[in-house]
Amino acid sequence: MRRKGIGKEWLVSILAMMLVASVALVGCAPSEVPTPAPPEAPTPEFKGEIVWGLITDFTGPLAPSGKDLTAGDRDAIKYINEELGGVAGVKIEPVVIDCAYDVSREVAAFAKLLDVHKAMYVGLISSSSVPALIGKATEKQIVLTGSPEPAGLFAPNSYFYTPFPMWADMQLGGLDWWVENEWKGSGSPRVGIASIDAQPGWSHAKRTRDHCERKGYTYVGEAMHPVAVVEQSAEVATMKRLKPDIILAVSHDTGHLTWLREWEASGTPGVAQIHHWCLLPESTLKSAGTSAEGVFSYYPFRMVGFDQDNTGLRLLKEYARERGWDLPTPLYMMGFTRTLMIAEGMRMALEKVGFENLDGAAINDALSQLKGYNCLGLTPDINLSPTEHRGYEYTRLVRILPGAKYEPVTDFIPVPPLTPEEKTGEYYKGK
Amino acid sequence: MMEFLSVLIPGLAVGAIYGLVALGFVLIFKCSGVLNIAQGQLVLVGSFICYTLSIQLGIPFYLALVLTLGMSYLFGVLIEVVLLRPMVGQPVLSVVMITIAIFFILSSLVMIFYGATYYNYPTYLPTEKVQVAGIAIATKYLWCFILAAVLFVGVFLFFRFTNQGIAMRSIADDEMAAESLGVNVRRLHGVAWGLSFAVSAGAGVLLGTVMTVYYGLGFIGLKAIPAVIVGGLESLGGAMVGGLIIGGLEAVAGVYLAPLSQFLGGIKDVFPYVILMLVLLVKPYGLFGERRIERI
Amino acid sequence: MQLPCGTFSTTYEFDKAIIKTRAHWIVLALAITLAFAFPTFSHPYLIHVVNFVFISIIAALGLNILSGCAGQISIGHSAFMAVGGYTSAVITYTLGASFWLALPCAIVAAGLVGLIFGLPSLRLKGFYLLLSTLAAQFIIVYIVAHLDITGGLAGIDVPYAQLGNIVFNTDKSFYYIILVVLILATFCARNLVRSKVGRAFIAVRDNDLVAEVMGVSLFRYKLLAFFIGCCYAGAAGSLWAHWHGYVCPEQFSLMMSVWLLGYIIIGGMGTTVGPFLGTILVLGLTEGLSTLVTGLGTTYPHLLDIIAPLKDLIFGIMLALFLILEPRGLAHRWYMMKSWYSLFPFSY
Repeated sequence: MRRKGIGKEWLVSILAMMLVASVALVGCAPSEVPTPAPPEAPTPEFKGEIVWGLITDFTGPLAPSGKDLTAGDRDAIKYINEELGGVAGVKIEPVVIDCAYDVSREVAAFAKLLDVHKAMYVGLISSSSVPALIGKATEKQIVLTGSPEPAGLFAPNSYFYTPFPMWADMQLGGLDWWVENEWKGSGSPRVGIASIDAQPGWSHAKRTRDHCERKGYTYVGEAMHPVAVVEQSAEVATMKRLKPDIILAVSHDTGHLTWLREWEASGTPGVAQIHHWCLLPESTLKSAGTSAEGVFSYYPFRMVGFDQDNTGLRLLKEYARERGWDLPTPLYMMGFTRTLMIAEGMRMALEKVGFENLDGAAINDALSQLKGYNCLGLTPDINLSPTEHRGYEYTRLVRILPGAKYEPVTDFIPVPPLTPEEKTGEYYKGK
Repeated sequence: MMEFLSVLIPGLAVGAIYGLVALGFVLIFKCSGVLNIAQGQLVLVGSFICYTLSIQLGIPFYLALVLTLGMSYLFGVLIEVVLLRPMVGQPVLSVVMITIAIFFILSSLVMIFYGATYYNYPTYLPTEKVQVAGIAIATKYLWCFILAAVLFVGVFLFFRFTNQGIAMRSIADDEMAAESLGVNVRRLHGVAWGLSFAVSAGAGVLLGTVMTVYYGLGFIGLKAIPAVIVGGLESLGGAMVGGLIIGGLEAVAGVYLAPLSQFLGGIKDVFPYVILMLVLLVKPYGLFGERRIERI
Repeated sequence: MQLPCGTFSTTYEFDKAIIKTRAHWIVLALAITLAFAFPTFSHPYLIHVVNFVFISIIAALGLNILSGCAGQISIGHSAFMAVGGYTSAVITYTLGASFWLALPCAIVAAGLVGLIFGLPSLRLKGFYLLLSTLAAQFIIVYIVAHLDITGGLAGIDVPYAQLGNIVFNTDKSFYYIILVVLILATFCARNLVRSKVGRAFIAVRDNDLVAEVMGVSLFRYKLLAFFIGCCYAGAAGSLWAHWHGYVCPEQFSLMMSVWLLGYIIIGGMGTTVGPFLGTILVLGLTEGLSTLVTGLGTTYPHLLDIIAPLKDLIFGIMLALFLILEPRGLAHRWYMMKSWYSLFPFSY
């Protein structure tokens, strides 16, 4: 069975070279980890190092979000290390692991961050990684942040925190504002959900249904689209039949894009829409074109160019210029603010127990006492407690303008409070 | 009825794209017996070639489209020569694994060169809607039908009338007999991959028009598989028919089945596979597939 | 199989034995001892990786029986793992039973669901069958993601396995459960192939018409192959659920199924050693590349955007090169090495 046509020796040598190169690099990699990267960095100033794990996506379906999120995390860490001289004199060393939106890889990455890198905190990205890791994080006493999932926020003895409220709450806060200020009709407004057939979509629908009942709005139903989506004419037709006055949309960026274009093509004017914030990155808005104009979304942070200058905004302006942006994307802001919040908690823990005794439990204790911290003026005051792991309960609505721009239409508005039942993980399971 | 049509026509248009991807799939399978897992990635790369030509290099769109088809043909031949040719005569499943390697290589190349952002083609179609039988249809959907039809007829004529096309049909029928009659089988495998890539690139441009051009377009390959099976693995026409059936039924299921119960929320996604199972139970070789009679 | 010089099969018992010489016994005993002692000296993260590798091997062994021995190629194997994982999760979480009851139930449940999706195999062959198992992948995962009893898309928190006072909630303790199941699974797989059933499977794979003419009931053996193959998947799924302490539909992805098939193709189809070699090679490569990218990303943070997709590129190229050089799988090379070793230095 001698194959013709390929030089076997050539291939063998290439393969051998690649193997040798990769083995050599793999061998080098762990030794690179503890080395501080820039040689001119004034290492003696730091009392020590804490490793922060960031589980993110640079490949796979969440790649655009992952890049922005990690950029925010990184910039905040850069600010803390370079401008503040670390967290109470201790340097933060980020270790970033790309998991390509694969739950089992995220679980493995979590184990790796703990066992190999000795991370003190892990930042997550995907919503499914939160329920997958919350149990292990509580067991091993590691503080987590990530997308605001009820499974993490309301778990018993949870180690999971976010600065801002859940997606559904931010949209419902916007909905209440819209009904009071923008709605011109009479009777009760009709609310529809256009969402992805995944956990955030269904828990969102359930929460909205109950909220509408309480507020006396009419909940007309939901149009769910599959995760992999080409166009949404069927979902748009379903929604048109329900005749809503306002649509709350939750999906990934592609889902929002296809929905908006299809909705525009269906020619149904006069229906307001509030979309999830992953619509807001510039390339997504550009791609949506005219179909996104006038649509609402939310941006629960202070905004560069709209709010009075403060430390945080000046800093963001500088970082945004370096990256060639006008306005940092919400996901970048999520990374930036969550990092500042955790760093603040860690600073409190360090002051209390000292660097030698710092562990996850100490960080968790300090974080759960965090009060009145506003992330350099980028957010409302964050108030955490052992039973409340959402930093603040405000949102802020933005309206999308022509030319892939958006402007705030409200200042921070409160999100509807949760009933005790809605503060349990069980409430959000099922439909 | 109006509503039904306004749902069905976009569904069929998407079905035409599935059909084109399925056609690319069948082209490779028919001529070389390889199940190409990376078909969706060919679509992805095709859509980005067209983006580079029309936006980054500023070539007029229709010319860029033609160039895209030509360049993808060459890429297809290149892939066959570099990766598939050394595998001739090896176990067929190992060759299928090679296509998984192609899957990784192509999708990571797109990620490296274009990153994870959304791109748009220039507006090359009139934006106003067309009235068909009293309902307004976005032009992009009609364009889907037209380009899909042009590509399909092109492939059909190629197989029917050119020497190479006839030779390709002969190797699909019996590779060894064809080779002994002087048909250059190796070259034709390259041609099959080239054609398949070109057809997929056409589908990629359409998909980029209907959706947007981004790194995730490759998932369409999975959606095309039910179309391939429903039509039959060896039938070019079957692939198109299968695509239209799947696209249409998917849209109809999305409107009329999904709201029935919450269990059926995302039924649109799996409905093609339910159809696939049903078709296979009744006709094990798809609607138009070849039924090979086996002898001991 | 090559026997060392001077060793002849003089009795039937000797001829039938898998392990024939004292050296083999010693090697086997050493290997098993080493496997059991592994967690005591290994790095904790390595145990995590090995656990995942072992679970994948168990699933791949099942797929190897189904696809490698009986020739019924399936690309929906991770869906059957989902059946096992969810059965186990529902039994332990909802019904409150113990893991030791849930594991056999999961195995049987996955096997039974496998029977249903095996039915088309009576009429379908080759790629048509392969693509119909793709339907199993999508349909099963859709169903578990939309039923209320399975927790829908939110998944289920699975209780850890418990034996007396010992709770198997760490990688290290659960390693032993996985290892025992793996050894049993390998033992069964190795013996099945040389039993009547295994020979019938091979007959069906090589030519099902001939097999039927010779009296092998296709109906029985094709379905049996699906049953056994999916039982293995069920065991793997159940172990996975209790090891992670959580199941969700996204765990059981199509990519997982594709890779299970990949492991046995790269390892060598139809051999028991194949799934081991293939899984270790692919997962080792993935892990190595991921470590490499993480390390480089720490040193050069701004390049990570490029380096991360580069990992997939290198992976794809290495996979392609490997397949071009070793199209028959690692097991083929393994046997060649064994025969080279036993004939050394006179290889003719």
